[in-house]
Amino acid sequence: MRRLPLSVALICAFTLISVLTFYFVGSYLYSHLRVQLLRMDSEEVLIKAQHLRSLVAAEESTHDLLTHIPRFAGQVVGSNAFVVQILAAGGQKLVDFNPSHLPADAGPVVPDPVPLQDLELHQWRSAKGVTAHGIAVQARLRDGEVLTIVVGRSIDDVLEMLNGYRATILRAVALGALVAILLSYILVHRALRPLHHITEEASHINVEGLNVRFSLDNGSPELREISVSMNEMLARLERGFRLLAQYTENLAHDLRTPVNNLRGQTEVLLSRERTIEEYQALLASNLEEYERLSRMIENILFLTRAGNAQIAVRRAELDLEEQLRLVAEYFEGLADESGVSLNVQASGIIKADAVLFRRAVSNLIANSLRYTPPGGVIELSTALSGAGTFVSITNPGPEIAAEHLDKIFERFYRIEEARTNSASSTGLGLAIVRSIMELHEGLASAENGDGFVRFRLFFPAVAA
Amino acid sequence: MRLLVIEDEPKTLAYLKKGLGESGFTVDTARNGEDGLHLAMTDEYDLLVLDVMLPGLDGWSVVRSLRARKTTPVLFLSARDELDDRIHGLELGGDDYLVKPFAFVELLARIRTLLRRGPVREMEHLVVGELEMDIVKRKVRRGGVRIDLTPREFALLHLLARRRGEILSRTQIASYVWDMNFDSDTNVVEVAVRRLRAKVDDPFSRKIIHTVRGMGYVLDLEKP
Repeated sequence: MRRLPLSVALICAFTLISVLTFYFVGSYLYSHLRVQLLRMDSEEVLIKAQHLRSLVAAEESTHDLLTHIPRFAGQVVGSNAFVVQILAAGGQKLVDFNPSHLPADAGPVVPDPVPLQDLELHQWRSAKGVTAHGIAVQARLRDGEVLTIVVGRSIDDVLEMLNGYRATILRAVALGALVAILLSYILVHRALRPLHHITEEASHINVEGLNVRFSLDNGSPELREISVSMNEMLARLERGFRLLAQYTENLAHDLRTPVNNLRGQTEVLLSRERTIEEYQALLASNLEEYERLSRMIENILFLTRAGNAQIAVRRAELDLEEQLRLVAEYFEGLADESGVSLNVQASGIIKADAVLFRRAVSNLIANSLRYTPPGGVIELSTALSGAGTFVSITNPGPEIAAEHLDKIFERFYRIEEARTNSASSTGLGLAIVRSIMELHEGLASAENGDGFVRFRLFFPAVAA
Repeated sequence: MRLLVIEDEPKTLAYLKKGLGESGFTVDTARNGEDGLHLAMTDEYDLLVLDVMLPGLDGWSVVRSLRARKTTPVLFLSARDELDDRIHGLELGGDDYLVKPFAFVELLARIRTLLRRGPVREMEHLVVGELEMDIVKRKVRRGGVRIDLTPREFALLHLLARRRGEILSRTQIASYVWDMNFDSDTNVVEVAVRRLRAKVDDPFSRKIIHTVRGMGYVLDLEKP
């Protein structure tokens, strides 16, 4: 489903909310007012009816009543909206005060002793379209004759006022909604302007220009947060791309050396007739370079795949002592040749891929052997912590300068440029160690001690 | 033993034919899938060496068609080594999968393993000239003189003697003797062989452990 643009959605939401709020508040006020006005009006009618009832009760007979008509008429003087009638038992109108000629249709007659407070008025509509309400009540003369009093009132004036009020409310709602739309439009646009800014800035970012950053000086704290985290992302990407570019460059550079050897020595040898032995020596030397190239290709593919998590990690329980002794034994001869010995002090079990584990450890030992002076001892040890297991490879020897410590695990990173051609090293050994640790969700680190260098592999505890 | 090599890259084909021929195999060749499949179907071969990427009919298709009628062992060669490719190759009925670039001795070893088929009987005694190995008691004598070897040295000598006359690459040796199944940047194997030689060969005038430069090591009475 296509989503509405955020700005449109926000404006619609604001408008809807304000229209609904106005509407409900207006309706509430209107209905409250209506009830109040009608009640006041009906109270007036009831009071008049009550009053008339007590006036009737004070009269002796219809005759007396007729002599006192002005008393009754006085009740309604000054208001043409009222109708007051007093009917004899036979239906004869004793009093008929009806200036606006309302038909009096006051509904059922309320019997005499029943009090009138809070009674509902009867409402009717005349043929002329006048709406009125009123009440018919019984009243008793002193001589015992029962008369009927009808009091009514036209409420057209009240209804007219209410209608006018309703129209005003509707106008206010419409106006309020318009104002809300306008204000929300302005507000949303103001609030989203930094986003447009960010979009605009983002459109300028490409692989060649990863050094741009989003400006932080506009917008709300939330948008600032977005900018900050996007800047961090950019920094990581920039670093990643720089490393990749550097990696490609290093790769090409490192391929040059063996290819140059191959080409050069073959060209020189072929430039004139040679003895069989010379040809053989050349081919054997070439073969060594080919092997180096093959190994580089294998290592690069390993790193690329490890980076994309395309290497299957077959975890099994490994006895650390057994595994470390195995690797130490593998290097024993080589270490012995350079007067170095290997010491294993290990215990514990980890869940890891045996081949990858040995590869990581042997890459570290191979690295340590290069820097350990004759007579030195390379220590292979383990330590258990709450979070997992550390495997340490410690060798005596020169410290690694602090600026290199973090970087030695990067591909082709070499502390000294001069080592570029050191025999068979591909410069990828430590990068592979780091990849292997990442495949195990672990960590590889290096640290300096007093006259020694320690590499540590951290394997987090894995739920069995 | 007759082999059929199906490979479109001329240089690869040429050296495979030459190398395998010199290792004692009769080698027929085909430059594309159609010709190769035709030969494989009409003739009898002990083993097929089959490149995966071929013009027209590719290696996968060749094996699929071949397997409908024949069970000739197939060794795939490929420049691609993603796990999926390997699994695909083996599922289709290939018997082994070797990734380029490979060491020629590795190819030879794989071919020999496939041709041997069935369990290899381990011998209790190995004799090469005046060298005697008692595999059960793990004792070595040469010319009647007892030679003391560490367990790994014994394992190395045992491997070389068992594969007498066969060149073993450094990677193969690391894998068999130390169970290190990856290429290492170090010359561990060279050192180990040098140390073994010091005990087995140096005191004697006739050398039996030979270095084949750039390829690996071989144990035999004569240098290859």
